[in-house]
Amino acid sequence: MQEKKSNKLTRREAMTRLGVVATAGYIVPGLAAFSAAHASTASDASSSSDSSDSSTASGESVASVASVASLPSLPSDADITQEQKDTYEQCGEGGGSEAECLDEADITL
Amino acid sequence: MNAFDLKLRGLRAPVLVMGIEAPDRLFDEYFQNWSYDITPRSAAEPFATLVFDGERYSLKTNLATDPVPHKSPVNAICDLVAAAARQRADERPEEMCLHAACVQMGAALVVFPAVRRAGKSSLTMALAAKGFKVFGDDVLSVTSRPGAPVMGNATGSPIRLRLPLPPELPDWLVDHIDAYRGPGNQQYLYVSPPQIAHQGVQVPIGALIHLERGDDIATELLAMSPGIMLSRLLKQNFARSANADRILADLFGLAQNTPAFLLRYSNIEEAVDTLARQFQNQPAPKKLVQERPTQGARSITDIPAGPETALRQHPTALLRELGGEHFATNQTLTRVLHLNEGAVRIWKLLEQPTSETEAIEILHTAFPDASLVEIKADTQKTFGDLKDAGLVELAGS
Repeated sequence: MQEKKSNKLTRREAMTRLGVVATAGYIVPGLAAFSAAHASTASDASSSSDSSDSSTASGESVASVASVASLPSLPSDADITQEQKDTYEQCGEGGGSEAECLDEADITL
Repeated sequence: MNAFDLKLRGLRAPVLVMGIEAPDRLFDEYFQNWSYDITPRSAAEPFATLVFDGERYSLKTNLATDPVPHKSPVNAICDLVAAAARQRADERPEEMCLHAACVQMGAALVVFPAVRRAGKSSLTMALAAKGFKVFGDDVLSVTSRPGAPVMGNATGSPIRLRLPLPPELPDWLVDHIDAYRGPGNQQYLYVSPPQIAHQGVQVPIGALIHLERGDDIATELLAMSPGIMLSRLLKQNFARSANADRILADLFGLAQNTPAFLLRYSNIEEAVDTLARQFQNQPAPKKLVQERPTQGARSITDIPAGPETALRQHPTALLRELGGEHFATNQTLTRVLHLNEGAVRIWKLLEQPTSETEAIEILHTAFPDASLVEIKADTQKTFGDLKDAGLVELAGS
C-alpha cells in the first residue's frame, strides 16, 4: 500500500485532486443503479390495477388482493429502505400500478 | 374449457387463451391496428395465459408466479399489452423497449419518456386529433442497428386514457375521443383513432421530450441536457435480455444523437401548438448508429479492504460522460450506473491510489464547512458501491 500524506494538502491542492473549482461546494456522492435484470420492473409499462373496479356498489373487496398480487416483490439487493418498502406496499394496497408505486416510493431498481 | 393460441404480429411466442367464446369479437376491439391470428392450441410455449372462467379474466405472464385476476377484460388486455412489449424486447436482442409515448411529426418521431402524471396519453391523443400518427402511448420498441438511424417501431395498440378525463380538455379533443372511443371501465378508456400507426411501421427518432405538467405554468419548450435525458431513458428501459453494456451503449447513442427538450405546460392546446410549430416539419435525422466494440462481462472480486487500504480505478472500468452526466456499468454487466458529481469527484481521486481515510481527509480539507460525519458516511458508502460494482481494485494488485 502506498503511503499518502494527504493531511498536508492545502485546500487548493485538495480541490485540484477532486477536479473542482474554488467556488465548488460539497455534493453528497450518489450512484444510481439501473438493473438490466430488473429493468422490466423498474420501468414497467403502465400495468393495470383493478382499484376502480373495486369500488363497486356490492362492496366486493378484490382491489387490494388483485393489486397486491400484481405488484412484484422488490429485489432484496436493491438498497431499499423499509420506509420505501412500506410506501411501495401501501401504494399497491391502494390500487397503484407497479410503475406508480415505484415512483411513489422513490425506488429505482 | 376451449383453448387456442393468440398470435400477435411481431411476436414469436403466442398467448394461450382459454375459456373465451368469440375471441375475434374481444380482440378486434383492442387490436384494430395490430394484426393477429387465432389458431388451434399448439405446442409453442406461451409468454402469457389469458383465462376467462365465466366471471373473471385472469392473466398469468411468464414472469409472474401467480395469475392476476381482473374483473373486466380492459385491465387484462392492458397487462397483456405490457407483457407483449417485454416479450418483444426479449425475442429481439437488437431492440429495446421504452416506457414512452411516441408520435410522428414531420419525417421523424417525437418520443415522450414516461413521467408520472405528466399527461403523455392525453397529449398523445391530442396530437392524434391534430392528425399526427401515433406510434405508441405507453411503450415504444426501438431498433438500434449500426449504419442506420435509431428507429421507433409502432406498437399498433390503441391509446389508453386514464379516467376520469381531465375537465380542462378542449372540445375538439373530447369530440375526437368520443368519435373513436372503445372499451373501457371505471379506470381506463381505450380509444382507437385512425391516426394510430399499424404495428411494425418504422420511422427514425428525431426528438426526445421530457414532459413536465404543472398548474398555471406558461408553456415553454427548452433544450435539455442529453445526459439528463439519458438518465430518464435508462429509467424507462425494460429490455431484460440485453446486458448493461449494450443497454448503455444503445441509449447513450440515442441520447447523444437526438435533440432533447423539456416541455413545461399546463394548457394542452398550447402544448400541442408548441410541439406542432417546432416539429411538424422536422427532417429525418442524419446521424447513424456507429459500430462499437462490445464489452465482456467479468466477475467481481471481493476486495478485503479496510479504510486504510489504497484502492484505484480498475483498468477496465469505463466512465462515459454525456452533457456533464457520468455513466458506467458494473463489471458483471447487470447494472448501468449513473454517478452524480459527488461520486465523480471520488472517482477522480481514485485515478491515484487512495484509501477511504485519505479521501475523507481530502474532501474535508476541500470542504471544511461540510459535516465531517456526513463526509465519512458518504465516502464509506461510495467506496462500498464502487467495490460492489467492481470498478476499483487494490492499488498494489
